[in-house]
Amino acid sequence: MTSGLLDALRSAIGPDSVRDNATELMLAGHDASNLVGQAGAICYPSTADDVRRIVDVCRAHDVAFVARGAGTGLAGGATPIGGAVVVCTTKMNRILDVDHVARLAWVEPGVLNLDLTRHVSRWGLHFAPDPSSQQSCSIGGNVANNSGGPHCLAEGVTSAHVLACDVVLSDGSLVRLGGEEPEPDGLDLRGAFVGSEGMFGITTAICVRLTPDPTDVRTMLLDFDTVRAGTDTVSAIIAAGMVPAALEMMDRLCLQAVEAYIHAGLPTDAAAALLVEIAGAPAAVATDAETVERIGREHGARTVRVARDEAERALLWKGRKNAFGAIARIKPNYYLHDTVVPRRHLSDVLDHVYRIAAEQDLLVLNVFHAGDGNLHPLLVFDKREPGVLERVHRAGAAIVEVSVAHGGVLSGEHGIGLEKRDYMPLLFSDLDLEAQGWMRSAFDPLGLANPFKVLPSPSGCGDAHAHVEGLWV
Amino acid sequence: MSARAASFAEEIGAIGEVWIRGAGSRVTAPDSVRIVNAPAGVWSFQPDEMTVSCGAGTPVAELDATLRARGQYVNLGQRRHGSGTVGGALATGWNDHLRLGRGHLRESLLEVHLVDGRGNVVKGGGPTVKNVSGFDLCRLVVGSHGRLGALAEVTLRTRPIPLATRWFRIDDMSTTRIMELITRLYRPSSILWDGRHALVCLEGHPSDIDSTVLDLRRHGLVSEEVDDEPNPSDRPHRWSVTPSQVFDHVSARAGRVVAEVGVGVIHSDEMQPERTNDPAIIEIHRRLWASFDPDRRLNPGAGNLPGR
Repeated sequence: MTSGLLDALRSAIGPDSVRDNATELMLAGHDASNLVGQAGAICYPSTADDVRRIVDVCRAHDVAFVARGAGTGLAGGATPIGGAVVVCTTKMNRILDVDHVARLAWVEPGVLNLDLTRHVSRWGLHFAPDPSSQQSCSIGGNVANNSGGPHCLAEGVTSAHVLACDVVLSDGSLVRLGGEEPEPDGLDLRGAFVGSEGMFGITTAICVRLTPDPTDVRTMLLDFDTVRAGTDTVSAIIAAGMVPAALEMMDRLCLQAVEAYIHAGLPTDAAAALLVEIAGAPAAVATDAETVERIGREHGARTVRVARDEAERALLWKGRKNAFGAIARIKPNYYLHDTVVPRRHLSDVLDHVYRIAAEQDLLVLNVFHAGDGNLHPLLVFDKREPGVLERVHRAGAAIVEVSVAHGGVLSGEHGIGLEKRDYMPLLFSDLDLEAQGWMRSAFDPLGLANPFKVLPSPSGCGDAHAHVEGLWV
Repeated sequence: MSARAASFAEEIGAIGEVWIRGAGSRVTAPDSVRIVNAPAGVWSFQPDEMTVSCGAGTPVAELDATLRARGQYVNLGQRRHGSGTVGGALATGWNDHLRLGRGHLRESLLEVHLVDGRGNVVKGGGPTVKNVSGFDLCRLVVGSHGRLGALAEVTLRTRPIPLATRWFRIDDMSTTRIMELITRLYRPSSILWDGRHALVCLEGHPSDIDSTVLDLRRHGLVSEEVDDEPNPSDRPHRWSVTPSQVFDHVSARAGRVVAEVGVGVIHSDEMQPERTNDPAIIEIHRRLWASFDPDRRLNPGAGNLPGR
């Protein structure tokens, strides 16, 4: 990093807000994946003006910048390449305004997802996207990744809950994309920005839609002798004309790991269990719950456990949301995949996932959003075993390929980042990818915002592309 | 790429102005421009996926009938125009007055195949209900009036048809009472307000609707069920204001406008004053047009879009 750039950054936003010591640079060199890059400096802006000044300095020095929220991303989206300036939004964590009648809020990008829901719960409202990392992930990051979560089955992912973003573009201008008003002029640039993985600009304020809390909630656990019986139940529930609030699946190995951790009385001898949540108004919830139970039994559900109170509901969800923490009891490292397949192919694709893991002599656990076909195969391993990483990568590649071969897509909620960038041609033609490149160039013709992500580049990116090592945390 | 999309692309070609004709229910084709029709037909409806794939030229009514047979619908803003084609609905991006409950119609589009200005077929999105693979071209296409590319084929997200859809009228609705109404209702599908009375659409289980009506009555919000669904779009102009601006706007024009409360659309006999766009926003549009349709040959003159 040149001292000229660092001096300019310090003079732009103050010396205390620019860091370049080795430890902090190392920490900012990756997100929750361990796709390791190299940060040139870390800036902590407090305002949109700070962000503009940082971007102005980067442009003047022809250095890339990478926005970073809480660093919980799993695809290397926030991993800086080649000494890029990391713009960390953790100090921009104010809830700016809540209009509980219009059910919307303006927040800064560093506000944590769950903090917003806690803040607005006094009005019986919540922010619907609920990634499993919601205690620690930021709303700016949710916007960048168009994040999902278990309750996005009924409510939709982040894009459906963002009305507007104020964004600093790489030319230093601050623009508003979308708006509180329902029909802004022009194209839906807001919609294009959500999910752009930091490659279109840096958001400095976000207007989100708030969702009323349901009046009734029913949380049920159904367990099965075979995985296929569970996935068939999922399809039958949807075909019956129901969209539950959440429809999650855990397989046997996962149930066993989680039960040892939380002692919730989970059926550890079952091949799979479905966690179904129905939410809404009382009569609809009661009717749908009966239908779920009937369909489950028709498909061979061994037991149907209905949470009796909020404590039991919380315990069942704790098992689901903390599944990844429980994995450490089996092996110290894991690689979490994220693909989506049409629901009707869940059984076949899961069969392939088990076969692929067996072929590579790896353990695999499945805990995933079955309702929308979003698989999360979790390969567990000990990276000290010689050659294990190669097997993990081979298995990962095979899982992605088999998902796409069944009409699926590369990612349901983690994003493409660096991790899946080179798989993009499996799904998109050169012309499709060129069009995505046009979208990026329209926002960032200079190519300074988080370069080298999402779009595979046939040439010109040099060594930066050489070591996409995958995710193990 | 499907053979239908390829043949549509061939018809559009790479030179000369073309106009993609739907049913002509929303926008009329200009004279002296070559007219082409998008592929039509429902290719694949998967009730257990809640997705449907069809040609952009498919009549919305045909799609609705196919889905209704399995208890599903797709939100394409049908109540505003009723007829027209799937491509026309998506290209205009015009929502109807159930947006409060059913969301923006742009959420319906999962995958799109379009023909760009060079005559190439470009795909955006994917066929699954959840997908973050690559940038979200689908969102950009909805409301683009076909000027980024001519819509050929789409995959849409369907939803279960609510068990009941009922409309209620509540009189003597002051600003204070309309605000109280909003906070009392769990998830209304529509609240239309003209400054004097409100028309409320409630959808879901009939017993839940009955309970809601009883609860409103307990709080002095006495409602009377109405048989005919209102159509606020019969007023010629739409204003787009923030949901919080609706209250003052309507109070000052009671009886002369109808607002979609909670959304911010106001139906009026007067035209909304033209708004100025940020030059940086116009520049982004210009770059998009220059890439997707460099010769500006697709749907010339359609939509009032910045930078064209």
